[in-house]
Amino acid sequence: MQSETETVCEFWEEESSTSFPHSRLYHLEPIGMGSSLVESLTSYVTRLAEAHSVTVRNLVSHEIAPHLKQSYLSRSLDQNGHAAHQALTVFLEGK
Amino acid sequence: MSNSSPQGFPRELLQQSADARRRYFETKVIAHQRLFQVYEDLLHVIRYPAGTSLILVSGPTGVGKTTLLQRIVKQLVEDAACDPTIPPDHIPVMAMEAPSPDSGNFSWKDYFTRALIAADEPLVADKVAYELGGTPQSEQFPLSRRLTTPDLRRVLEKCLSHRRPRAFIVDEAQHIKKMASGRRLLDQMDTLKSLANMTSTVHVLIGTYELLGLMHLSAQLSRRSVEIHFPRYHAEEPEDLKEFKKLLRTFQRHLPLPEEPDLESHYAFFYEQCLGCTGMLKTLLNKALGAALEQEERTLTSQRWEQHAEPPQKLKDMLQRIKQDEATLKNQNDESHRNTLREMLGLHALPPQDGLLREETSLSSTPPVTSPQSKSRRRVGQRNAKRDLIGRGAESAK
Repeated sequence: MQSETETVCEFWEEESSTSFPHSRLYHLEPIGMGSSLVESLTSYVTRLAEAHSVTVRNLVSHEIAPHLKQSYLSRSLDQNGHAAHQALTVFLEGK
Repeated sequence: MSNSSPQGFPRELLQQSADARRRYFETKVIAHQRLFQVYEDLLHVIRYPAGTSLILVSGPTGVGKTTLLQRIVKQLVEDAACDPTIPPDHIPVMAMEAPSPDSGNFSWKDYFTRALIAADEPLVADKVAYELGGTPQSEQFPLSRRLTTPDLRRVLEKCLSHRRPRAFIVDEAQHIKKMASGRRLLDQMDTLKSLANMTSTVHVLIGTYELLGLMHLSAQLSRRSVEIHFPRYHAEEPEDLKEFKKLLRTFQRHLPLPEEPDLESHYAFFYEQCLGCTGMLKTLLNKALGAALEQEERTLTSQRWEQHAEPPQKLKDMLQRIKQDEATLKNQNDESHRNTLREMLGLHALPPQDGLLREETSLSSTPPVTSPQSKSRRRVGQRNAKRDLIGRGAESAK
């Protein structure tokens, strides 16, 4: 009886952070990896935007450009019209 | 009682601030018997779903369901951390709280948006609808087009199939039930079921007893789902009462006060206050401890916890509601339904005493029916006339 009154429950250790490190964008495999017909960056970014259901422009300006340290790109993308389109083309196709 | 128990809180905590001590007790999670068992059961189904796409965890308010959720999330995250083969975009588990509808009707749009936020999806506010294999629709109509509910659902589907979480957990899932009519309630559950099936993600719905019966809305649904019950401790069961006292004992050792209080001998008061639900007990103790720490008291006295007691009328109402739901649940699992079920299946020709009867006939030395003569007289395909006559035939036979 004595031992029974002395038993206590186990306890779980305190809460730690429950977030799991993961890449912010989906991990798409480039089409034709390892062959000479591997897909272009333009195609890849377009597919990535579709997978995330955002426009290519939003994806590039909010998710990719901020990491490029090229402020002209994000600045141009913030505007509408020709400048933004041009910046996007320059970024994707290197022209 | 001795105040230097080996399993208690670290004594150096007494030198720390009242806030730190309060936080220590508040974040302490006791793996009491009920919680642990439900935790194990749920984890097992998540790890080995075997065709299950919906798991329903129901229990009374304040029994510890949200604590359960946190522990499950933690465990699944730890599981994933040990696995070196997982892809970099994998999220092991997503958890969210179902939004309470403010306008009376549950909004799936709100639900899907919150689910996307819970999935840590980038640019949730900038989502556009893509036509199947085509261009984004909003590029053509930049301002006029707003995402419809099916659009958002597709976004979430894509997200789930890319991230492949092992479980999508929804807390307070009874809010999904807040609909106008029964017909649409089935639609609600079908939406979840198809979301779970199409993305092959196990969905766990955690909520109060209001969730009961949701799974029986259609045969499809009940086949794909598992129900897990998270019960409170019942004082009328000696085993439960023993566990409850053990829990109180554990709590009293972890109250970071110079002298260990005696909660166990006041178990009747605590049981009455929490109705056997551990979450409610914890809330009461948190409040009492907070007050005691503020007054810089050496131990927790009955005066402190009685100060934070709930009025008996309120507790009585709560208990009545819980008992009602428990009765519904009990009725659902009642053995008497088995007989009706068997009758409906046409199995009533094999009553339980049939086995006994057969044993008796095999024991008797002269089996009347199974004599070789009578067997040989019957032709192939001719029925063995062992059935009771029914209807008019039975009347005339008499």
